[in-house]
Amino acid sequence: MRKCLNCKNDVRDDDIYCRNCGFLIQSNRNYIIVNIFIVIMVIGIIFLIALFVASYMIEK
Amino acid sequence: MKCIHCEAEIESDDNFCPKCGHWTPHGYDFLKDQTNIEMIAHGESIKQSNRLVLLMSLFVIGCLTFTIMMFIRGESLFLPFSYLKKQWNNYMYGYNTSAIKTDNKYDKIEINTYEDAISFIKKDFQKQTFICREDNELFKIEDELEKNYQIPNVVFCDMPYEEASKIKKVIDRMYFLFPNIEGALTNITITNASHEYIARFQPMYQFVNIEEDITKYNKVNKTQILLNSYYFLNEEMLDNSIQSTVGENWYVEDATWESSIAHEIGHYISFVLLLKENKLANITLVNSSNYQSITNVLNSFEKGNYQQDILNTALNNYNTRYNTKLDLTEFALTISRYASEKDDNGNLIYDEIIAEAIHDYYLHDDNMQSSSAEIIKIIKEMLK
Repeated sequence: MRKCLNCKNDVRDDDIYCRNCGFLIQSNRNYIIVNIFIVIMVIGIIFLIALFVASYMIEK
Repeated sequence: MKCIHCEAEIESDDNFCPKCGHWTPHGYDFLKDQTNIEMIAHGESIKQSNRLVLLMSLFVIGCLTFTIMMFIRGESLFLPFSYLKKQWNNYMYGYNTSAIKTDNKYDKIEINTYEDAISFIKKDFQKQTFICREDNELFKIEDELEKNYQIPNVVFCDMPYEEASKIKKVIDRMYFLFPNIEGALTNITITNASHEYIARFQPMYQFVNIEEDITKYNKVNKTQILLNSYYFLNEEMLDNSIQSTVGENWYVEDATWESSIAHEIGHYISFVLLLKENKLANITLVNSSNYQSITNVLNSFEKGNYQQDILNTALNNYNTRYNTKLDLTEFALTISRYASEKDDNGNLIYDEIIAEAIHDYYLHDDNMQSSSAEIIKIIKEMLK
């Protein structure tokens, strides 16, 4: 039996939503892909900010 | 017990339907109960957004950030990339190189008039100038040369101001000595050419619609003088004399790095003479009506017959005036070793003799070699 990532309640195999908190239960692959993209987006935004700052710092 | 929304089987203590995620009566009671407020506020007891929403939010924030930064900085936002590219190239080659790309080519471009062609040539560099060091004095020199002598593009990107200033003086003097040579030169540009040459005149660089059928698309050529970044962007090179690189007495006496540009303008002047002879102002815009005559001019320039005629006349005049019997090689050798340079077939390169005579005239004015003076007389007469 799996655990809900949101409230840690037990989730039955054929449940789509957590019975306790209503969290959408997804496959592990789905979570991994979404998390990877979140990390990429965060790095991308940090990179953009760094690029913006660096563009002022470079000797013109 | 059944879900009120999808009628799936649910347990009596479920807060949400496991199939459709809808509230159950138990979940509704749980929320309404004031004693559960703290647990609800903590965020673990009610349905929350999944991480996909976070991802979408980050994507929107990223797009907005990029748009705002582009609005503020424009293409300067990418300066760090060109800076890193420059640093990388400098590290790889071991000397300062230019980030300007001079060998772009374009196809299937509609060019109808000479003005379109010039505008396209200008645009090619306008897209790149943001990568150059912002030196307003240097930009001013480039602007003045462009305006004063109708040269669409002068790009000294990243060149030390003092060096650009010396080059400007050379160009100013050359256009003063030969005032009727405007209109055919499209570019004076810094470029990367390893150690191949110091500066180079290129009568035709096929720029637009090279492979296209001339009946469908007009073509655009650049006529340019290229300055090698290996020398002109590296002050430690310029600190040495040009003779230490090319050898003593290779160029005419007193030659400098900058005066080698006078030599290249000498090639350009020789080319202008040929254009005038063929009643062409330039070879920038090629269409079906001038295609053949431009091809003939370029073939003629390569073969050197035209330059040979000028030199034979100058040689005859020299031999008559000074009562000598020099042949063309001896005549060339009186100017410089470079003037008497021969190609792989052992033939004199006639255009180099003319360019060196002009170089001599630039450096020594009326004190140039008598042989150079005979050549200059003919050239000046032809340019009238």
